[in-house]
Amino acid sequence: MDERTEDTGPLTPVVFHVLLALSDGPLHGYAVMKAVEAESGQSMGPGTVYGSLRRLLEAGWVTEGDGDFDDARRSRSFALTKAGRQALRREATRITRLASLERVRGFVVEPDAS
Amino acid sequence: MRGAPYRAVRAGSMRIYGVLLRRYPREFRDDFGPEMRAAFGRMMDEGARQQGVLGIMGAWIAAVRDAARPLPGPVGSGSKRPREGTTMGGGGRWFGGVGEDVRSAWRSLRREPRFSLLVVGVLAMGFLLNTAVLSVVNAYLIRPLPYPAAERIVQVRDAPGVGWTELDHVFERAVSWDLDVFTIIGGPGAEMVRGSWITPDFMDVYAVRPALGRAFRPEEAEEGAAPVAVISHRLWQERFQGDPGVLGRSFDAFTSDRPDHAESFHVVGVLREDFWYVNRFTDVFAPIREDRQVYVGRLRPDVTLDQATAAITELAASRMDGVPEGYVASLVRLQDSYVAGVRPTLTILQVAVALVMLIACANAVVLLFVRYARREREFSVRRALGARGVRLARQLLAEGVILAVAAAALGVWGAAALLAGIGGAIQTRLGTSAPGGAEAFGLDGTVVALTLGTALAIGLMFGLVPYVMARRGAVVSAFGTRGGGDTRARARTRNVMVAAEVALSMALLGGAGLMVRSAVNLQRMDLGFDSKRITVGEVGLRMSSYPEPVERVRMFDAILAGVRDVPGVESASMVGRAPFGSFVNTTPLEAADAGGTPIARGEVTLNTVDEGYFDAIGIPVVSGRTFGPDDAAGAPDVAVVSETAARRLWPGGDAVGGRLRSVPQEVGSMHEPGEWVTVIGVVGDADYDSRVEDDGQVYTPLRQSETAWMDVIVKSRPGAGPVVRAVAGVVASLDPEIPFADAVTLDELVANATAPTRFTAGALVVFAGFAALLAVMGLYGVVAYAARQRRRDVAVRMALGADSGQVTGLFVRQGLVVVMAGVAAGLLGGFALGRGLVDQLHGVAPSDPLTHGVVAVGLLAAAALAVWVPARTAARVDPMGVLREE
Repeated sequence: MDERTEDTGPLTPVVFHVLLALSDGPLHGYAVMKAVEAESGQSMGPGTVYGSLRRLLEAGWVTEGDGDFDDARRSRSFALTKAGRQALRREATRITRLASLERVRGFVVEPDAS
Repeated sequence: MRGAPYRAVRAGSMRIYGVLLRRYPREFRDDFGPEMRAAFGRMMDEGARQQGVLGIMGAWIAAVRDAARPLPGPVGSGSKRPREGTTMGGGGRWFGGVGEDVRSAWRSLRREPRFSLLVVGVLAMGFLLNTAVLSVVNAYLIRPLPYPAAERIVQVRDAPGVGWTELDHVFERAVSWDLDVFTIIGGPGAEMVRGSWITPDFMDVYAVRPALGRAFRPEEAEEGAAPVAVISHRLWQERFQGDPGVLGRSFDAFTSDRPDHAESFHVVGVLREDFWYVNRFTDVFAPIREDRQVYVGRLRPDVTLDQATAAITELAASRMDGVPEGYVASLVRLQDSYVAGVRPTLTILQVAVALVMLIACANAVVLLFVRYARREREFSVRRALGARGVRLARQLLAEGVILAVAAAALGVWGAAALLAGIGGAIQTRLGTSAPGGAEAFGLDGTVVALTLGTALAIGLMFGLVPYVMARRGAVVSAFGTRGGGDTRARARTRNVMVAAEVALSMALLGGAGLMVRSAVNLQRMDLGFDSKRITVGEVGLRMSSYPEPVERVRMFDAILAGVRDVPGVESASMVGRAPFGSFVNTTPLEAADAGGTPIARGEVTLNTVDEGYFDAIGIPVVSGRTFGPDDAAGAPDVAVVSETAARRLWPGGDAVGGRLRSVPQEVGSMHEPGEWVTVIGVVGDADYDSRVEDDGQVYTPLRQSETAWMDVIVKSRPGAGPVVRAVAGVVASLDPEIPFADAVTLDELVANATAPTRFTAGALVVFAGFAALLAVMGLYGVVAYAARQRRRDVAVRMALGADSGQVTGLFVRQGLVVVMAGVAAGLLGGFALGRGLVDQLHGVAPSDPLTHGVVAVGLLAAAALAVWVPARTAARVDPMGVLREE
């Protein structure tokens, strides 16, 4: 375990969703964008998605898929590294722990049963 | 949206998005740029597929919002090298907050959607018209012809006797071609098609690439070689039913080259369907078999146009006996020569559309002015809260740019859709197909760059509006410059803008009015003949079957007799060249009195007619007589002249009894003057081609001519259906090798000839109408705003006893001063525009008082209404209510 996997504090929602999207396997940038949009319910854009991917590459949480450059689509694929998977797990744990707090639950409006 | 319009929009969008990407630091762009573009492209595709236009706009909105966001910062503490802060990687301080500016600008615009949509709508319409015209101008005048090194291809004129083979010192390649008509026989029946004899290099210079097969080989142009042909896509489809094995097949055809017998042409190639230039003229290409004059050449890289002109002039002069004073051969770049006919129209449209854009901008500025004045409080609050002036200025700049760019994007999209719809019609109306064919109107780098540049310039100008206002004392607190709150100066700026709008639209309306009157004049113009119920088609006899003139006349008689028997036909007659039909050449003639003493010379349009022609087409006999059956071969040669020819060639005298002969046409030509013929009658003037300047018409009788080609003039009975098929059947039954070709109604021929004028008139009416609408809107807005600003003032006056009529009058007077100033300036502008249009006008003067007067009165009436309505509303105010408000 190297220093990169140390606790890094809360992740931004976009980063979290990107990691989440990649947790099922490598994806192309555009697929990441679509997955993040679908899961977060917010419209992203190439700048936000690729900007996050750059930072994740820099942090060593994401790596470029090897030799999978789809020339026709000009798109590389991206995959989660071990460090990335740990960071995702850590963030997921943090969110779950937060969500389980009684005081937080008090603010959540439960969806109406009807 | 799909197909070509979508492709154009997509290509344009990708370009714009590429520019947008520059906002990111270079290293980021280098790494991810291509992928981001691809991703944006897929966003567009998906949006378009799912929601059409809305989807495209959605993709754009998402992309712009995305670009407005700062790039994500490093994740976690473990990141290798936190670059700087949380915003963008590379940009400097000033640019650091661009995202923030754009975001607050966006929010601010969203708060007033009606204002934003109005400004965007007004500008988008301006951009639409501008981009549409620009695309057309680009297609014709800016884009080079689709040939390799097209700028070096020149057309040679007025160089008699200079052959295409002797110019190696001037041209890299020289070509010659000669148009001909090929009468293809056999199979489904005789058909006349346009053909060209070409020199071997022709295909290279014009970049003619057969879609099937090959171009000609040099040996195929040599004497005695077996005839070969490259055929058009149309001929391939229609005559050979698109047979994929057409190469190797042959067809039999007569040509004017070998009129005596049909030759068998071996098909070696098929042209591409979309080849735009040559296809207009040609269904069959065959290697040239005689030495011809040079027609077109590709300049050698080391030879300038002037040098080439000098060299060819010298060569041509050396072949003439007696070189005319100041003789110069004419060399014109192929593109210039090709677009010469449309350049004036396009220039007019360009000027008009630029004026529309100016008006749209003035309108938007007035709207912004009003809005910023209303936001004065917001600005001062923000300043009080510590916002720096620069910050505010940047936000306003961003607002301006967003408005302008959004409008430009909408306009570009609209223009692409518009041109995809009416591009074909535009080409027909202009009478010249666009170089490069149907795709030529698509967006390209030039159009997108110019439009985007315009949008940015307009956006920046909008950003400057608040500074102007600050100088005028409007947004005092926002920028800290105390101007003393001079509201009168502010009002003056607004009024000048609106007056300018009125003036510009007045000028445009004047120009449009002149064009409309020209179009109407053309429509109503007395053509000198009656085109109703007349169908024109051409018949050509082969010299080998009808070698003697008398045999040809007999055949023409037989055709006419047969056609007259067709049910529904009222009369049939013949003319060598029907009005507004094929090219009109003028012929130089010499006129003499009855004794043979020369009187005058002139250029006339010669035509051959049968006895029934004048009657059939409604040309009246003015004096003397027209041709009869006895004016045949062997009888004295006779002619009939039109009134204009009579007046110009026999000034003051009587044309009937006078004599005429043709004189040599070309400089240095060796032709002898023709035989003298006697004038036996004068008929009314008829218009054979409005564009041709001549000294009138001279007719000679069919029975004394040797021609093998005549237009048949078929007049149907009222209410009779189409007769073309039956007439063609009659002709074929007499001789299956004679086709009845190019049958159209005379009405269509006339309409085609006036199409460019009607097109210009129509476009100008649209532009001017939109301009006038904007001007009236601007006027309304300004008066309404002034009235609102002065509500308290009005209330006080009314409380003190002024009645509503006086208050209305006050605003109306103030508004009308602006209008009058605009109209006065606009009248001058209209005269100026009219003078620019002078070559396009028919029967109306550039400063025609009626046109400009009607326009001025109409605009004044509309303006008065636009002023009166808000003034009336102002006067309806409840004085006590207003005074109690504060």
